[in-house]
Amino acid sequence: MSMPTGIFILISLIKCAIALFVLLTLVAYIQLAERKIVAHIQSRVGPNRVGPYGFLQPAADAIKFILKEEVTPAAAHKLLYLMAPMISVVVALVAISVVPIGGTFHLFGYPTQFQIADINIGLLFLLGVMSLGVYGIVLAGWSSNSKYSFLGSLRGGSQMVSYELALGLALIGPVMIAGSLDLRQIVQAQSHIWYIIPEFVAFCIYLTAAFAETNRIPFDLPEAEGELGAGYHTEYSSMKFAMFFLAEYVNMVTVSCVATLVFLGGWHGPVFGPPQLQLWLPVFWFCLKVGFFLFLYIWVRGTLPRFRYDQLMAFGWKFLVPLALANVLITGVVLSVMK
Amino acid sequence: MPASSYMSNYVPILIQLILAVGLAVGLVAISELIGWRRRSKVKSAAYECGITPQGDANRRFAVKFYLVAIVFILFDVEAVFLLPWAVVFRQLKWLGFVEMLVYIGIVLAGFAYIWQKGVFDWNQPERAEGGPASPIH
Repeated sequence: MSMPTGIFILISLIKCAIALFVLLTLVAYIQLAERKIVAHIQSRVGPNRVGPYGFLQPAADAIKFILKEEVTPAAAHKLLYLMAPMISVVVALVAISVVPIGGTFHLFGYPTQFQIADINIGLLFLLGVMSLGVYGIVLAGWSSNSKYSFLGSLRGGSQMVSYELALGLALIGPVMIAGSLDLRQIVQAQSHIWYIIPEFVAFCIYLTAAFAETNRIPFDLPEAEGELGAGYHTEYSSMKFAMFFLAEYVNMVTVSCVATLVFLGGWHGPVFGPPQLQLWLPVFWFCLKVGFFLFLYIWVRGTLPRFRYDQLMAFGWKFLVPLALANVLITGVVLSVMK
Repeated sequence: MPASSYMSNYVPILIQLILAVGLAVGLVAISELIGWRRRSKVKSAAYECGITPQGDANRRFAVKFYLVAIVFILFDVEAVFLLPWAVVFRQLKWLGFVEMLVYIGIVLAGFAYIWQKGVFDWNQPERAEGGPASPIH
């Protein structure tokens, strides 16, 4: 890299700013899409009053989140109570910085990637940072000093660590085939065949575990409204509540990106036409695949009921973890025999 | 930056971290400054569906959550050990694979023991020796 330090930092800063802007907008509109799609699944119309087809609803929501009252429970541990949503948001936003979304382009005459940070252990970094997200949930529940929050965070903590294991083990198969933790190399290794085909079992395990990691239906036990109020964020209001939502949706985007990169061939897809189109088509394919996963999240939410807690833990430990280990072993045997 | 090019790959993550912290602080600050504020004793009490809260919420909880945490640490170390092995798997040939089989076999023996002990059975009310069933599930 023969790029002057100043230019390097400037380019990084621009990419970070664009990524944050795109993410915040995206999260706002995923929420709108979710309300619309779930509404149509349930034969309702969904939000349609603010702007054409409710298109300005996210803006109205944002204003409302800012203007609503911040209530801090008298019994709460004030510092941790304040820090918990911040930890959730920061961890979610940092994790996505290693996700590559396309090839190489030129900015100010220097080549650079469609990625904030191009590190050679991207997948490991992602797993590590995403597992820090559990601190936000546990601290939120504990510091609120409310029974619903406490129970929600206990459930959330043990659920997330349980499924994180299956998540990590499911990703080992593709890593064995690709022989790298670099997300770009994993994508390049899939130029002939997407890993969803040889590693279909791992893909299913990953997808299931990813739903549990992000606390989404059918695994949204930490915020089961019928039993726990709003779960770990019962005592949060206004912007602090919105930050937990922001973190949850950014995490959804992140795990969808990882699923795309590791199993669906990343930005691979038919590329044709003039150079500009050839530059942007891979990004388009990538976004399309991520969009499919995000739609799947919403679709599942509109379709499936919630698991019971003992079912959730038994499913994770007694089924997913042994299956993921078996998948690693079978992948090993097949790779060794084929060589 | 030829000399420090490896570590410089991590600089953008630092920039993203600073921006993310700035965003988080900014979001909290803006609603603290602009947001509506009218305190009352009832409002700042813990939410318990309208009933007056009883006692401290951070009380004892089921030991199963501890067990899950401990088991998680054991198996996560295994997963972390598997990752570098997976990266160099193709260079290791059969010997590396067999060695990992032995390792996974030992870990699986522990897994079977934990399973048989009922750590993963959440629908059984667990009891201490002669004591009552645990209070919270």
